[in-house]
Amino acid sequence: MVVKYKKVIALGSIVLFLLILTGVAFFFHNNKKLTYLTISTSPILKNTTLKYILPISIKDTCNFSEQTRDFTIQKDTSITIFAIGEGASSATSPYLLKSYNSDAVEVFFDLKNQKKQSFDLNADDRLYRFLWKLSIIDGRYIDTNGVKIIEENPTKETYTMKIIFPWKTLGYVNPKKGTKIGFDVALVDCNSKNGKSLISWHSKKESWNNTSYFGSLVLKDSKKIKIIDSVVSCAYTSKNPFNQKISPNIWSKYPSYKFKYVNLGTVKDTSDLSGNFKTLWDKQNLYLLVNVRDDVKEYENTMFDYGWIEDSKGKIIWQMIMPQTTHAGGALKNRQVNTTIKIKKGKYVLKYKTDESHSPAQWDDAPPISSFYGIKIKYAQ
Amino acid sequence: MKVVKLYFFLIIVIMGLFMFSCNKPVGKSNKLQIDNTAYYKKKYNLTYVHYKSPKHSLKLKALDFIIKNLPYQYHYSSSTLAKYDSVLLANQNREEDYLKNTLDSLTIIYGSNINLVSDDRRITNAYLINNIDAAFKSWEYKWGGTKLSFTDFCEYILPYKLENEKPEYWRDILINQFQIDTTSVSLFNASDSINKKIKPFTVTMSYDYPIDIGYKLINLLGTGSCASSTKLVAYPMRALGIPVVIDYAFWGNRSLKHFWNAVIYKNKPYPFDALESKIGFYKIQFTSIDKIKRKPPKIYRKMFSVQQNSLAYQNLTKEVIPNNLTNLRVKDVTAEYIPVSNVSLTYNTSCKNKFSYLCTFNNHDWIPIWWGKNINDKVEFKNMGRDMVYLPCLLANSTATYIGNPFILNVLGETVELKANLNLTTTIPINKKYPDDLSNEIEIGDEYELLYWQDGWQSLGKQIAAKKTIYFKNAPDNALFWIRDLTKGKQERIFTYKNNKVQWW
Repeated sequence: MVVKYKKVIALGSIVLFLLILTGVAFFFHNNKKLTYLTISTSPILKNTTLKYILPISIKDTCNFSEQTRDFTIQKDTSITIFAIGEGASSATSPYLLKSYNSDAVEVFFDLKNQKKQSFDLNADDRLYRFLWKLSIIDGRYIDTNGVKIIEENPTKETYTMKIIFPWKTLGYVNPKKGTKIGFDVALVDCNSKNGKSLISWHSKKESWNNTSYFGSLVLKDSKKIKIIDSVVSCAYTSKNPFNQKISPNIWSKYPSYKFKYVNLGTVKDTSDLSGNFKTLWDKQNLYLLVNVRDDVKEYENTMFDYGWIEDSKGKIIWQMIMPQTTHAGGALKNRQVNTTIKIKKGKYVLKYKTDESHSPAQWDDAPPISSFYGIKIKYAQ
Repeated sequence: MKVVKLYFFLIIVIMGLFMFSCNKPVGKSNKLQIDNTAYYKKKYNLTYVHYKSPKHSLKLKALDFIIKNLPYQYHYSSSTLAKYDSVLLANQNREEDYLKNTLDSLTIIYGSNINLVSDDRRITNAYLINNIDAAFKSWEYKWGGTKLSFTDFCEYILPYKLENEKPEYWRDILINQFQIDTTSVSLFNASDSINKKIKPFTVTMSYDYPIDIGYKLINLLGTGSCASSTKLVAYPMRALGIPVVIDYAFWGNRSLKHFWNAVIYKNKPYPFDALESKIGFYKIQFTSIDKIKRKPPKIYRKMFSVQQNSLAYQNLTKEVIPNNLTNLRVKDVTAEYIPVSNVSLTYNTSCKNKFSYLCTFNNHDWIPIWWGKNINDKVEFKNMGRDMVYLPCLLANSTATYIGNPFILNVLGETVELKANLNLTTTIPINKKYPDDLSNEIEIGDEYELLYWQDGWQSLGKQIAAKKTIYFKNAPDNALFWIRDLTKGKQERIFTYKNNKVQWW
């Protein structure tokens, strides 16, 4: 019996030893820092790249989609683009966009030079706002009849606006030497990264509602102009100063006026926002040349569902932008564009992107009249 | 013999320890024991009798729906807050300081005595019958010719309340107050019309009533959080038979959360901001062209019915779970709004905890945003929002233990692990600490610290900015970084650095 007990005890000891050993190993194993070895996700459907031949289209889109079509243009030609998407502006979607959101040049007139502490609507005060890139003129109590704007973008960080105001359209002024009007010019910077800012030539405070902050513009003859505080001395010209052929370098003879006063927001430095302007006049028009330096140029282009074309280097050669769209029927945010562009021989990608809402899969407002929603291109007739 | 017995005892004990340490799934049913339905059926027998006629068969089903979901429905009661309510009723002053100071004063005098009260303490047979009859009357409104299904009716019209507020009579009052031509108006236009008719209400982040309150008190207050504003809109809409819900999200790429309303139409949500927007003019991610898009990792819906898929319901063993995931009546509706992916993790060992969590970064802390059930060494997180950085964690004694490395769930639904590579380092130029506005640019004179994640946040050093761009050396490749302004401010953000570019997350 004793031997049997000894055997059992010996066997038990071995088992116990092994168990303890395993337990210790398990203890250390279990106390090892928990980490994950692999991450995986549900299966992903990837787009396959296919080559398409015109005409091509992207349609039947749903929310959160981005589709592409590669295509090749064999020779320089023109293509017609038709696209329908969702866009918004402060006018069409006041709930989403509560103010204008474009870089702009603002020109203020107090045509009777009364300098009141108000802005006389339906009288002689004007605020013209020229939106960068959009060729849009808006503002307060303005008549745009004959008002012309020529925009140039000599560099990525600068732009020039050449503006012509017919005196007849402005009203109140009989242009002759010595005429004096209330005047100011301002630059609006809607840099989305830094917030909106505004700098003006003369007004030290926002002057959209107070003409007493304006400076003056005095019509002079064509002789050498002296710079006087708070006054823009506007020289006479006998030729259209924006016609380079008939009046090259005419502007270089006259002084420029800098934008000095920050009325709104913050201007970090001259690269953030700065500029100057010059003026000339003749019997028909007031000419204004505005040079702007703005490191980030922006315009209101709030498209939520839209298409574009990229070249082989990824450069956008055409894009559906809000100001160039028209109402596509249904909700005002349904926008369409139908245009023809010249396109060079080469490889391109047609793209169409949608955001979180309002698409054929789930309209959250009245759909467009057309059942097509997306973008299609074809060779121009 | 005694020795043998001792050995066998030891073996059994050790085997037992093994079993516990292995933490294998327990073979019990993972169902919360909601067993007091029978009690409520008995308590509201008169209501059952009231609807016993075959012509009321649908109302009887509706009653069943309420009774089935009555367990764990509660509200708050407080004698101090009752006094506060009296002051609000007698006084029109709604300045935040006044509201806060008044409450503070009353709390000092009478104490902070908030009690949890089961709804059945207040709900009578008459209340139930009134609620069901009025709800059915509302259900008859066919906005633009659409008729709501019985299931949606039960969930979105029938409930006598929206959250944990005290049950009150509200339907008849609001039907009279918000009269609308029910024959010609579409569902969306009806909701817009009601949204516009709501009395002015100031949404503020700095004041809210301390407990859930119903329509009458929210309306009386006229100020509170966006969550309160959603209720102010939802009550009259439901009174008029519009299936409106309250959805909300914690943002995955910034701090804070937001509540909004959505009308349910053909099983899809059509969102709008209470008092501020209308359907078709509201976007959850887009706020303005000046701001970054808000990204929701998860979108939740407040429901009346108990959600069997909720963490609270599944948490049979009463493991400590995050506060923001303890609600039995919250439904995950992320997939109804945004593209989602299921994310699976395989651990290096079996996990002792029942649940794992995915966290998003809330400008300062990792917040558990969703959960997955650990099965051996695997866990799956369902329907996660994309284009965000997540970090897995466990909870033990209310403390989060972060597991492994953070990862990006990209816009295509692919995962990219952010495992800091200390063998490959670079110098990172930083000119801002947050992507949203000018106030977050690097300020000369402020002290900044750059951290990267490797088993927790590790410092890459501190420096006082001498210029508008600061440079941190020895930054590991493929890491998640966090730039902090130690001098001032709250808005800080995580980012990755790839191809010489900062990508904010």
